[in-house]
Amino acid sequence: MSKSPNRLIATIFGAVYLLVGLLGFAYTGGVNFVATSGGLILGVFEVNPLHNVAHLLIGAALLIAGMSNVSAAKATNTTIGAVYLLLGIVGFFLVGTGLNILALNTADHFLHLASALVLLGAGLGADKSVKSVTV
Amino acid sequence: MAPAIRLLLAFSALGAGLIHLAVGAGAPFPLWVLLVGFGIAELGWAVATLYTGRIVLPRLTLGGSLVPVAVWAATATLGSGLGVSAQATGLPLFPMFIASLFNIFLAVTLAVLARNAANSNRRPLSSDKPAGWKFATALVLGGVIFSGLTTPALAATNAGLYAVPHGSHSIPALEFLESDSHADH
Repeated sequence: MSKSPNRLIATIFGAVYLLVGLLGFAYTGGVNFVATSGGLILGVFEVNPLHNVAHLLIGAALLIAGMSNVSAAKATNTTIGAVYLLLGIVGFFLVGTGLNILALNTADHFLHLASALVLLGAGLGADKSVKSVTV
Repeated sequence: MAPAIRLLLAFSALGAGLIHLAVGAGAPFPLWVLLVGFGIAELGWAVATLYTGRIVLPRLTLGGSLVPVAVWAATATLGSGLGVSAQATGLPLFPMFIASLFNIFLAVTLAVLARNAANSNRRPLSSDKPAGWKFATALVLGGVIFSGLTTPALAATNAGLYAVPHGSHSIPALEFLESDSHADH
């Protein structure tokens, strides 16, 4: 496993996202599912239960893929990294509309962009000799 | 060439591309076309470079990466020298500065790589295999550094001004249902 950057990254990021998702529920006890002001994880990262669920799903997908095999980790990293970036880019052009889910003005967006870059970098740039497997 | 260097070049192109798209989205028409074009080209180049494992079109990229810097310099000169207001040129200083930094890093690194390749017998801009912890560390460090520069630049664009804080956004349809159910109280 230590030979594959994709499995390493997927496992580590998956564990962190899963932990953040679980931890989030401790801070959002009385918060509505899509409340517009949620709890603050560690006093910095604002979340509502919708975010917790999203974090849990992303974390679970990455962790399972990271623990499975290289091609699963590579595909999951690429997909999640690309979706993160595309959602951000779409947000640039939906300024001021209800469909804009872009959020850039708090500390955690730095982590979102870092996640996107790292996941995409690993998915596209590493483990090139791995062919996609058909089960 | 070390895969880590290729990775950093791709990250700098991604950073510049994102900033150009964000600035372009709020810029007046002719600049909108130029900046969105630069952004798409930069993102495409970064993905192609990561995917193929080699620097795509190195000579074209070397020159091309400096074009956005020249465009910014031209609009800044127009703004200060010819009395065109900043609103008319619509290019915010800080994001364009960071994007230009990425573009210049890209051009300088490509120039150095091309020179090194010319001085040695190795195949120019060839790729080695990325593997293990070394690549993963470069990946995480690069991700942190480049997103650390890109995020504040994006926040300073027009799109950033209208962005909602994390934890404050939701799915519009769900929000509608929530407000509907509260109407009875």
